[in-house]
Amino acid sequence: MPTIIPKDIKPDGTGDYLTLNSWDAAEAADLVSLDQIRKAVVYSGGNALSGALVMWAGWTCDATRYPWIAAADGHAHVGYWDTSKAYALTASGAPYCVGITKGAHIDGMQIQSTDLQGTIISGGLSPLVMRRCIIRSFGNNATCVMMPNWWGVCSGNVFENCILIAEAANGTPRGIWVNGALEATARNCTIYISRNDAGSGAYVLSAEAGGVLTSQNNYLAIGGNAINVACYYASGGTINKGANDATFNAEATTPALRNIAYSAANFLDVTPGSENLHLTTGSALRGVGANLSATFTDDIDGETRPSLPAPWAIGADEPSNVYDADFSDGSVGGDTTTSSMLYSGDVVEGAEGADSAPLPLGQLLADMVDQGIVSDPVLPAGDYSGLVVDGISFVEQGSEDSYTPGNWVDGGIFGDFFSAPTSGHVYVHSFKIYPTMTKVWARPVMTVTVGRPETRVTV
Amino acid sequence: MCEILVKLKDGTDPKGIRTGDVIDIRPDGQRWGRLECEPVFSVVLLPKMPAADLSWAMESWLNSDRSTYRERLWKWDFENRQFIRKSDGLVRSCRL
Repeated sequence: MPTIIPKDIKPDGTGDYLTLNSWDAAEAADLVSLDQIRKAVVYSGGNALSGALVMWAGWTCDATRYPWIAAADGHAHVGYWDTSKAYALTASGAPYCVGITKGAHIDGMQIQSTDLQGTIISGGLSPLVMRRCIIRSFGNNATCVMMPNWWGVCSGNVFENCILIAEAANGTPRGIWVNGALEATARNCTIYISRNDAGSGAYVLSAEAGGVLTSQNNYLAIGGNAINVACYYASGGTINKGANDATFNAEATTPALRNIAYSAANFLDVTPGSENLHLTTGSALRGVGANLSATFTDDIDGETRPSLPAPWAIGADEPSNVYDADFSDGSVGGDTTTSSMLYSGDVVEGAEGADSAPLPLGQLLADMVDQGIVSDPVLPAGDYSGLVVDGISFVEQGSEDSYTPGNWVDGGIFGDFFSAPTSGHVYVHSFKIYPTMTKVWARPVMTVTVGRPETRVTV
Repeated sequence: MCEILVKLKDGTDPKGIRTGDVIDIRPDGQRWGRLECEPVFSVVLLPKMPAADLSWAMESWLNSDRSTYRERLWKWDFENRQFIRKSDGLVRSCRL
């Protein structure tokens, strides 16, 4: 196993280096001979670049020994561009690109080129692997990822859970552009490119002669004005279209995944420059992607995607929502949920339960509902064979002496709650009152482990 | 007044960052990273030289074979405290 050599990149000067440029200048080495991975751990607090980062000369790497650039824990973006998090940016006038990499792995970073093409330029003998990154490119010929074969070729380049945005004033914008004899795969990426003058084309995924680009679970869109050629899969080489790709136009392989708009109906915010491409509650991209959990299990936010057999969302975001539901009024059915569909990771929150009757200390309750603390959450009749609810837990609770809304006591209630409903009810088992409590209040939370798009919950 | 971070020695790759290449330019008083010091780097103080006026010092040397983007076009001459353009030997003095 290669040894990982971490160095802290802190813009305030309290780390090993101020910028990735210094790290690159000092740390470039033959990592294969050293059997090392050299890792730049990037913190927030400012731009991680002092200029274009051009890191191919000096590095010798392969698929398992490589330079690794990663946002520090707690310093990665939260799914949209935010300069209060770790980022790397070249301003207008910077030479050519933000990052020219050879075999780097890049995780959780925001990277933007403000001028000229090619936010990421990569190629050579070792694969580039980018995960959970936001890559933006502005200026003429704005291109998020350009992979020329100038310095050699390789296979195994990966773009996973990334958001790519290329907004060109003019010229030809591109999302991912693979040149001859290079091979790359893009999985669960959300890619939007645009241009605003008449002229040549706009190409979301592009493979030149000899290049191979495989696409899975990606959302592809082109916007802007007066585009002569809007091409989602532009291939002089080979593009393997994913059956679960979705497109703004009619190029998606699967008819149901065509013509899904790049709009506020499907994404939280599509305002140029301040995009938030998390999915809306009613987004058409929810639950229609292939399950790739054999390959990876997270999303752009680091949240867990569903395990098999549940479908995934298309694009970088796997939504996780909190629904309000009133579990406490005792009625069966008809109460409010703010969304009609549940997916893995969704949380259904009930209202605070009623004040219980005085309880004997340490009482073991067979059924919480019988004590009048909360009512029984009820699912409507239907086939729930694919749904597993992994539990009802209590995120807020209190005892008689400490009860103040918003000032709950942790750990007052514990127990073993689970249910695998095949009919209409979610049951609660083994409920126990903490010995020091004489009354309890509880707000139940049901977490869905495997959701199905047709699953509806009414309580 | 500004400070420049200058590489002190060549790397193993002849196409990489070279001795005298400027890696960063900051207003004076910058707190530099723990490893941004000798023997790898030197911090040079340039009195009366605003950081904003030195952006050219980090320009890359764009050879036609695209192989030397990483190397700087200008080199810091420690002895004479001046920049030398590698392509033609042009000198820009910083004796201010």
